[in-house]
Amino acid sequence: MRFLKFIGTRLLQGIMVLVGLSLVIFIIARVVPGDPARLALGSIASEEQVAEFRTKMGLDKPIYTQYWLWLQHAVQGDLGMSLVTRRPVVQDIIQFFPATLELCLMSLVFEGVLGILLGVIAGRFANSWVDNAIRVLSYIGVVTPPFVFGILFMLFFGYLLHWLPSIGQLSPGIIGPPRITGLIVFDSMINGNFTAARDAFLHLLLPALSLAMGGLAQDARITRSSIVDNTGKDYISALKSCGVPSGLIMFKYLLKPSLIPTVSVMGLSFAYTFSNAFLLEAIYGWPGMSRYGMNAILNKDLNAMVGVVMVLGVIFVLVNLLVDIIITYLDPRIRLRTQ
Amino acid sequence: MIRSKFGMVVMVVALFALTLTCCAPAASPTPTAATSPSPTPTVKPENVMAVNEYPVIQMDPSLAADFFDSEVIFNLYDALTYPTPNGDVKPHLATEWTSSDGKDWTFKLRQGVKFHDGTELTSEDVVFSMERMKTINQGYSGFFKTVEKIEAPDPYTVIFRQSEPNVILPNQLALFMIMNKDLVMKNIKTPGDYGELGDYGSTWLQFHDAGSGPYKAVEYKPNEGLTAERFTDYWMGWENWKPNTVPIDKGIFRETVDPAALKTMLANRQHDFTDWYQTDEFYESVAKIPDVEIVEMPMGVIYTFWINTVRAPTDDIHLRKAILWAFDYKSLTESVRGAKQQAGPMPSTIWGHDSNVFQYSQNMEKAQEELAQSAYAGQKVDLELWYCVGNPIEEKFALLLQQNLEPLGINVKVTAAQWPQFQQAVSKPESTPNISCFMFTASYPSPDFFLSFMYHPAVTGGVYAGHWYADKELGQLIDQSRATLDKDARLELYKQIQTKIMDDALAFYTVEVPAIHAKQAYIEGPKESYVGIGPELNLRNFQIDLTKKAEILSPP
Repeated sequence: MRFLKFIGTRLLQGIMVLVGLSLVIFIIARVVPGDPARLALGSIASEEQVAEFRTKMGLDKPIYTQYWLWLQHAVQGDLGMSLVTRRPVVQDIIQFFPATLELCLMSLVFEGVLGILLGVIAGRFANSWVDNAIRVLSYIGVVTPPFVFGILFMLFFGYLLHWLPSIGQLSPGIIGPPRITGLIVFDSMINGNFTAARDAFLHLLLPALSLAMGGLAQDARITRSSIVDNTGKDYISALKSCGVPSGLIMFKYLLKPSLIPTVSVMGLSFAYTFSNAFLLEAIYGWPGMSRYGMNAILNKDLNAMVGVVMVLGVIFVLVNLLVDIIITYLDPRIRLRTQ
Repeated sequence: MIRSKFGMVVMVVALFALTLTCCAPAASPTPTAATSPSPTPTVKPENVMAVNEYPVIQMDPSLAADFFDSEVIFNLYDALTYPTPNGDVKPHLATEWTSSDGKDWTFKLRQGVKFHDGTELTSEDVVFSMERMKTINQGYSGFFKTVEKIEAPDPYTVIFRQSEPNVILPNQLALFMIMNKDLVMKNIKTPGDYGELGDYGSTWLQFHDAGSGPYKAVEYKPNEGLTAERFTDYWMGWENWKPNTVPIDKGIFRETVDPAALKTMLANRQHDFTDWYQTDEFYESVAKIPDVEIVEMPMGVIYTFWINTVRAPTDDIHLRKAILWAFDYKSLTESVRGAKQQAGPMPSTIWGHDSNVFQYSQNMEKAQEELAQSAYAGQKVDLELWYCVGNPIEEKFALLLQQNLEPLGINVKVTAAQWPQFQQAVSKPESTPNISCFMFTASYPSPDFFLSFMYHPAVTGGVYAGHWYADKELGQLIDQSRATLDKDARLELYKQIQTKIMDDALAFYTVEVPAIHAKQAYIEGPKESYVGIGPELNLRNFQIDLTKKAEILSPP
């Protein structure tokens, strides 16, 4: 019961955060220089046309009226009309979000598998040359922005080696699956179109790996530190003295508690991935929400800007909540406290 | 369980092996396609031409107003007139047009033109398209504000009735695309912004076309691009230019591609024709890829940089002339690929351009003389200059001007602004910088675009007229040119207007540049280049050399 109350409280806090976020982004979007109506209609539009469009989109109203109207529509699931695409923002986000989600999920897989694996190896062989090599790689991963990896991987694997495709979700000539979830690999597989599934998967590799590099490196460092810390604890020494096999100690008694900080960081990192995807989607011509968001910012597409930021906000809130639940599961002390 | 270092190493190797297995070559999309060293299906099974532009596609011809929009609608739709390479128009859907007073224009339509759904295009469709454009009042509709009424006395005649004489109407109509009335009306969604007309078909037209153009829309994926197929029943017909060349069967119009991706796709033969906004370094780099060529298309792009004539200190004509004499035009021209010095307010490739029009060249003595005559003689002068981030020619100009004006004691404060900020700044005379940099080409093919749209006192201000100069005499000359049916007489007026503009020192007329594209060597074309936007990327302007393509794509 206390656990449900805990989740309810976190959800309520999340809603308050989202309302605050909507207010802040709504004001920021309107305060930055640039006339959205003029930008939408282009330089050749006359002043009369711009004025008419401004009235049509409600941009001539005071900012508080605009916000109130937006909020009323937003709670009904209407985020307004995009000034650039001239489609409802919700329709655009539904169209573009699955591509971003697919990219971020693949990136999470890379981050989780490779990050933890490297962390475990580094922790297991602490202070050896393997640990030092992983440490150097991790530092490079942490300090290098994802878009740099994006360009390097594209030029190396796409341009020089010709190993992997470098743009979009599918190669020309490959017919995509009918849209079910919007996740192309998944949709292709459930349609039995394995050629498209394989092609889409190959297209995912470079952008997802570029996106994962920062988190992967961070996870490796944190997992390594936790393993090293926990290895020196009394209960591990006791297990060793009782002759418990080292593999069992590693996976059953050492890895599980060592993963708690990693999971926390991975959760936050997953939410950040959606923001980091902005530049990578532009580089890889990935038709996702982040690229849409970037176009919205560059063109001062007010409703689209607010819509994208709100979706990112919801992701942050939900991921944080999920991380709390997972940590509660992993750490019995926290579970006992919430109960 | 991992019992040893060896086990750990085996696990890492296995993981990388798994990743590499995933990277193994994929199957080609069709068994008939030639093989390629790339794992992805790089060889296109059909005669496809993939192009890219910026930023997003707006396929509805009543909303289209940007470069990419125009290029796309020229493929999907037809207009009554069509641009010519020298900036005029020729018959297209209209076979002839007449006017006795420049106010009312009668157009005779071509018979037997079919829309993509097979129905015939008639005057009723023309009337519908104009009414829709004027009702929606976006896109290029501002060019048709003089059109008050449009009549269709018979299926192959339309009469445009205007509020005032406008002899440029046939030229402006090159941007007015004719839509299939029945098809649009069938796809109206209610409720909408237009009363009983609902959304006027706007929602449907975002993803479909209702045109008669050489290509028909097959699939539009927002954020990715448009796929269009050749319309085999196109009224102009299709022919091979040479025995081994064939028309493009399928066009892929890609939205906003990153330069690194573009280069990779060119190398992998996944892309055929690039946009023209790339840097010199990009073109130099892709030119090294075997069988990738650089092509220059004279589109009449001019870099005209406005001088704000109502804000101090550039409100002083002598100071304006001083800075115009001080600038080193030659150095800028030599530093820009394919550029030549702009002469006067129009590109040299358009008819009506006065080749004898006065042009400044660097002369520091004359600059000193003009400065001495200005109200700012002997004073320290500060100028504000803005250009748009990411335009290397504007940046070169800004830095060169800063250097050139230093000996005169004039300090130039350079700001690289983002497009929204730039547009906001030039919307008011007091916030428009002393010098604002932008590049132009014609929207509609006519010298009138470069004169009335940029210098008429009724439209002063903004990106297209950041000089804020509102001269009555200039306005009268432009109005007179718009009412003069006789082309020779109009040419004389255009010359007078150009001279007047140069006398008043309103802008730096710096360089005229071609549009530079990178393309695969097997792409033939463009057959023609045009002044202005839109027709240059009509895929009918290109063909594929099959022999060359087979050679390039065959394995070594």
